[in-house]
Amino acid sequence: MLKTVVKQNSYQDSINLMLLTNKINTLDGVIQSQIMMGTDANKDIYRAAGLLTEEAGAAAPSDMVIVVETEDEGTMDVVLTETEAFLADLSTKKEAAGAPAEATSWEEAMAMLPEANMALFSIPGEYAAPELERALDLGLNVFSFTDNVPLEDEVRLKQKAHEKGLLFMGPDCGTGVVSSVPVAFTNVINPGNIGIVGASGTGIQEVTCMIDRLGGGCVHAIGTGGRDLNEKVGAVTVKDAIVALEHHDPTDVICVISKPPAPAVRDEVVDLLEKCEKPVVAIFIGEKPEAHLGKVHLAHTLEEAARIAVDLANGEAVKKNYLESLDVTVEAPLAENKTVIGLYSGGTLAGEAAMMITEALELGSIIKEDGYMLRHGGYDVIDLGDDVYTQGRPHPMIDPEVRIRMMRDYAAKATTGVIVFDCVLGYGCHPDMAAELAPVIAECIESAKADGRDVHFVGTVVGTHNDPQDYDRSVKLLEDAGAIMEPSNAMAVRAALAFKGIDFTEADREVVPYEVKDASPLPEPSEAVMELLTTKPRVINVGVESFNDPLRAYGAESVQYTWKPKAGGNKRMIHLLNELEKVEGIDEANARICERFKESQPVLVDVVPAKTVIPELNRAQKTLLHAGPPICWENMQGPMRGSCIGAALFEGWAETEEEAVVMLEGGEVEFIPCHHCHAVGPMGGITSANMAVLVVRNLADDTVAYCTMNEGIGKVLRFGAYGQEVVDRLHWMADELGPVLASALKLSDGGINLNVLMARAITQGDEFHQRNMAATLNFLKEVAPLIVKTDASEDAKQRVIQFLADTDQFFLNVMMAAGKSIVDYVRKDVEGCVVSTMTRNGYEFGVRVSGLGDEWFTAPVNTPVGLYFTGFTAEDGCPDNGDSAICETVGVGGMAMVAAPGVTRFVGAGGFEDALNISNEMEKICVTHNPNWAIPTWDFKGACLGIDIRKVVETGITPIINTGIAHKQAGIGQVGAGTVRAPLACFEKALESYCAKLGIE
Amino acid sequence: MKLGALSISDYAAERLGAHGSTGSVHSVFRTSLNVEFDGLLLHIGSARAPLSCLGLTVDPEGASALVNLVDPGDRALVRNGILRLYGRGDVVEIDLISAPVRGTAVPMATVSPDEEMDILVCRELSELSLPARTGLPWDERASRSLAGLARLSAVCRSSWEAARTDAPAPRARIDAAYRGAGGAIRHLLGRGLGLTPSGDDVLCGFGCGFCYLWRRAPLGCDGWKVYADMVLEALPGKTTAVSEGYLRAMCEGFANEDYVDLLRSLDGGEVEKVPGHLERILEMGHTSGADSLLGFGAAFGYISI
Repeated sequence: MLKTVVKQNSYQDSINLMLLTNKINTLDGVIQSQIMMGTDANKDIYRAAGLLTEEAGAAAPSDMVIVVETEDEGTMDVVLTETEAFLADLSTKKEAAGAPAEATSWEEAMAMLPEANMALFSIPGEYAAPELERALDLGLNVFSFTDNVPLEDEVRLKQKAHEKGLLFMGPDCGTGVVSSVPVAFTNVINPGNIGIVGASGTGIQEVTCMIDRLGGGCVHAIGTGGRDLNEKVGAVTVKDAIVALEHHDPTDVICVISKPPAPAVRDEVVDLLEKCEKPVVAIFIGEKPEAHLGKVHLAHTLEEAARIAVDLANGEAVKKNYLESLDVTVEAPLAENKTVIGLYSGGTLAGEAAMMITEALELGSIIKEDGYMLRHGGYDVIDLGDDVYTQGRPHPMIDPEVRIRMMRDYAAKATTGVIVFDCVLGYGCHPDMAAELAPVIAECIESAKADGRDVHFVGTVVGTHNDPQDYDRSVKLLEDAGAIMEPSNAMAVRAALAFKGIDFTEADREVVPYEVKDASPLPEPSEAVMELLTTKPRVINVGVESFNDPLRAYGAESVQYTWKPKAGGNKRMIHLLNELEKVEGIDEANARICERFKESQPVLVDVVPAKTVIPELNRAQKTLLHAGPPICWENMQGPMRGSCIGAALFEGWAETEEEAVVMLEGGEVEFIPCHHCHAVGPMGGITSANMAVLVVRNLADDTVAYCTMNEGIGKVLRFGAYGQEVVDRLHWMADELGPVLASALKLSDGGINLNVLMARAITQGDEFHQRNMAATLNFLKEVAPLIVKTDASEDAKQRVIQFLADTDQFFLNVMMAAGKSIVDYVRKDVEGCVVSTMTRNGYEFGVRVSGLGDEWFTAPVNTPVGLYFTGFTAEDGCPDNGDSAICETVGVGGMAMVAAPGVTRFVGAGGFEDALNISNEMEKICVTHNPNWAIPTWDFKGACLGIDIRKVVETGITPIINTGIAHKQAGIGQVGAGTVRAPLACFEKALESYCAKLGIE
Repeated sequence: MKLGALSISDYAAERLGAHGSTGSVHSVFRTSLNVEFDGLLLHIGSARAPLSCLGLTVDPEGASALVNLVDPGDRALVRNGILRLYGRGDVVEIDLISAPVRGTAVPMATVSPDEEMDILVCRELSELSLPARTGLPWDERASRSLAGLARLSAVCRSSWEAARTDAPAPRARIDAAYRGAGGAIRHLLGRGLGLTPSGDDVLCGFGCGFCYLWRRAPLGCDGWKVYADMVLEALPGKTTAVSEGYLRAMCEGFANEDYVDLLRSLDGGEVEKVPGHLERILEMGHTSGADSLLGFGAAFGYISI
């Protein structure tokens, strides 16, 4: 059976997930497993492995998907435990190592390392192009380990880099050395006066390691990516690198390494090398040079390129022939039917082997199909790093499993005479590959012997004595296992051919004159590139964290940018966000919108019957206002329906519940959102003509807003109760509470200033959604003396004051009206992309945006998660309800969780640390802070202000709302309290609309 | 990192140009390092310390930074007047072209080597408690070796005096002195611990004083040449590369700046400067200063018992 767990919005880089998958696959009970991010490409891999379950198929690109095939129900628990331990270990190692803080955005990264001059990328290729471009726009040279970048993007980006005077190393640049600092998967080479330009990762590795072991050294090995000498790319990076090294004083010799290039591009490169004054050597794998061209020494093999470079570096004359004699002696060549097999982790080494065998046996030319570099007459040379073998698996330099399997398979074949292989050391590679391969080699040799035949293993270790792995020990392990180890790949292949009775020779190479085709002078290098080559790199590492290790070990500075794909990997959203970045003035518009929030001055001025201020309620047509975006009776949930019944009974439209239901179901009542009438209502939000409403005026421009008063807790209308006590209370509130408060407010000097009251209460532990205790007390302190002075009877005054004293949440409704008065003022300026309204009706969540006027962007609501009163469970909870999200819209409530640590446990949000983390998280999606409401527990930062829909979509962080939980059935009331997230879909829709308005498709 | 050489010895300057320009860092210390080229062990030190006859100086901050950037084995190249050290920490470039070349050849005495100079040197050295400060095990063999060296210098004086009066050179004594000096060389060469063993320092110090006094060979006694040849013949494989470098330079008549300055002051009659020079020499190394002064003193007839 297949078991699936999806961890939402939990991004991890692919290498960590591959290592985790390997670990999980070793657990008892696991038949097979796959742990990957939920991108479309990865889903194909799941499908191919028979592991694409329904849940896996529904996962988003930013979700981590764990699929396990097992026969044991309990295995998944073990898998999850191991997974958590593995991931926790990653972060623990970071913390224990006292690792520097990490950046989560380009802005943070540049702030942490303002002197950065290089960005190192190891992120999925499908998201890479905009990020690579961003790095160039920031003036950074680029080193892209990332591959699978479309060719057209590579062409465009390299041209842009060249025009900006920056170096673009990659894509698919696995290896490099910059100012003696090893970058990505590379070896530790002695510094020296040779500069390398390589369009080949393992080509660079083989040449640099040989140079090192010959006593030479390299100051730079500039990787250019394997396609740089493609016709379309035109060797942009190779040429820029050659020019730079020509001008780099410590470089005395330039060595160029390339896979088979486009002919015209190759000639351009040779021309450029001819113009250099420094001695130069070049190798184009697959070419067999017959002579050196002018001053360009051409090598046939990587070993030869290294030897020529060292001679040039020592000021010695280049020999005519560099073929060294082999130590291996073959008594009798193998039989005719015995073949040579090459199993390589390095693509260029495989290419070199294929080239040499093809030439020696006159087989034609090398190929590149499905990983095969040679496939002829039983002679197979395979690049196990080809995509065919690395889909969903680590590279063979990290994971030996595929090679081990193929060694066994080929060694078991009667026709296999020799297996040639490489063992690559260096940063990023397996910590002890030789120890993995050696026993397999010994086993294969033994097995063959038992079959009465010999199979020979010939190999090379690509590494230096400074590499993290032990070079000498690696060679010895393999030799002890029975392999013949040669110091270079070329010699290994020659040794293999010797077993076939073939003596691989090289003709002497003379120098022939060469006429430069393009006589223009050698260009000057850019300042930025020369700065890169003359200083230790300062690197922003975007992706795999372990790439920081060699950088920091060898004197480079680096900061970690823990990258996640924007918008959870949603490509449409990524496109829109990238296009928006090019639009000027949005931030300025948002800033103006935020100013309107800040300059608002809500004042509580009156309490009146709703129909006297809301015309829609003062007409013949029976009308009820409701919370949330527009909704019809059919879609209303239980509590809202209950409230409608209660309102109908209160208004006298019906005598009984049944009559009320008939009337409501019969369409006799028109439903209008509170928000359309300058009003807001808590939970169901049902407001009818004769209900008393608070009146709050925003003195910024006298915008007015209304909200019913808080009924208290227990069986109340807003939670859907509609019994007699509810109706009676509503009458009392309309007939006594409201008028007494109205009289009291008239005695005040212009009303009660709510900014001041809130500023005080937020320092006393309120966040104004779930926690209003301090604000209510402060309100009572303001209004009680005024109540006493009114003409109301003593009993009435006492009842009113007692009610206020008993109703801790009274201020919630005041806050809501204040919030509405603020947003309706803000909404008069139609610009920017700040959220101007958030609200819910138990069915849909609705969002409005400052620059998009009255348009609603809706999506199905979520159900709150939290704590339930005794006797109730999550099964009883109603989906999210109420206009009270106006609190979060203006920056309080869940957005200011840290202000009310006392409420975090009540709403099930954890402790103070969690409250702080939530507020810090909300900060990331907001424009600024509101100094009117400074929060002491947040180091006196003002409450978050201005939810920016771009940031919500980009980060996937949606606003969090503190809320009560109603029972899903009408009439029961509140059953708990918790938090709920606004649905991302609302913001994505809003972004689409905003972009459409700006003409972005 | 780019540095300018503040001074370079004539000995080093000549050999850097003439010999192969590829080498490697030999050893690294707190404020100096040695770079090995074919035929030259180049010393790079701080300008606060005396210029080594084998090397060059850079500014003190540069020297402190430099020793943290390179390790033994790192490649060194000289091209177009720039010395480059390819350290893993950085490529260090030292401009040699504009460096002032300072003479570190041991001056030859321009005044008659009379007893007054001997007495002055002996008096000054006797104040320094050199036997207590030397790195040599101070035993009979050591003092006999020193005596052997002093005797060589003394016999050169006798030859010089004989030549002045047209008397024959004291052949037997000369030959005996050569034999004694040979024994001293064999005993002292490579003896002691450290990068420059104490016995080598004694031989260097003696050679320096001896060269000053008697390089211009008195008739019948080519003591300086004989001494230098004996040292060179005994050298191969007997001591450290650094010490060998200094001994070879000494045999060609070169010495560190502090000794050159001392000899110039002695030769110029600047008596008041002598104590200061001796103090500066004593600061050299751990015991190298005291060891070399023991040898130097022997050239002037000073033997501690």
